[in-house]
Amino acid sequence: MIAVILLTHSSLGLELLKTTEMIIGKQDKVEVLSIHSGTTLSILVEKLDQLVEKYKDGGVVIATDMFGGSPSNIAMAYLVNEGVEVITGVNLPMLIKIFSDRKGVETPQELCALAAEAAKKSIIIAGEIMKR
Amino acid sequence: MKKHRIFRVDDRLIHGQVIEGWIKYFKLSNTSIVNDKVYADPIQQMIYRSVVPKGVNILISTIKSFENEFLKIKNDDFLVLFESIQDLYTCRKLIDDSIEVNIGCIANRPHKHQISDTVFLDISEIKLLCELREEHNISIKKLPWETSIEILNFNKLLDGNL
Repeated sequence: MIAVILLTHSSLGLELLKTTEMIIGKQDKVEVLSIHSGTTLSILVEKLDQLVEKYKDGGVVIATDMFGGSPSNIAMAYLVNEGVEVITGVNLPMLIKIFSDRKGVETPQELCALAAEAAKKSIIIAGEIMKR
Repeated sequence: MKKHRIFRVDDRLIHGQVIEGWIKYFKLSNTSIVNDKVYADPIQQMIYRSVVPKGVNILISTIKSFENEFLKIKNDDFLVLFESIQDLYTCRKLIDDSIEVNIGCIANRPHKHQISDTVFLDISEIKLLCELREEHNISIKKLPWETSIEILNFNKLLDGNL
């Protein structure tokens, strides 16, 4: 089963995971790394190295919060590894999709394609639906 | 319209605060990374080039070659990023009165003093900063709309009184 590393600013990843587990239950093979003000990035990279090494044979998705942010910049350096894919803009529907579909797909790239589609579809201007 | 010319020390180089708070806020046309490691690493270069907003020119150079590269942008607006106070100090002769110098983000390590929520400096960095402050206006702030952290007490810190 593909592993998931949530790499975000502040405690966003931890809270997203807690909320996702509240909806679909406890998850295995998931790790959370947070970047706070003053975090030394080289220490965080060491932890990420260890996690990628631990999970890469089964595939790893690194989910980050914002393209261009430090978590995303750090994660992108791991794309040289075929067993790793990075997806940015993580939100609740995306994470639910990742956890729900990861047993049935072969590669992290395939899983990210499904997750990106689900996340994009989840953004709805509710007033526009009501007017239809 | 005023051209914003900024030298910033930020050990994360280009990241969310820099993109949203500085490049987009001042609608800058140029950004530059002055860093030997990034210059020598094609993957890091590719990452930083990919995250800069569309239409913003990005220049990546070594510390040694920056003086020449700087000529390409020095009359325009720019945000030049250094990883450390030492790197900024090495390039100090390029700073003139039109350039705002900003210390934005330096991570915590052993023997560092916390200056702000994002800036941690050791004594050698504080000494360099004190020297630079004699010639230039330097602010410590992560975002342009924040008030700069007062650094009058630095001299006391150097004397061991803080």
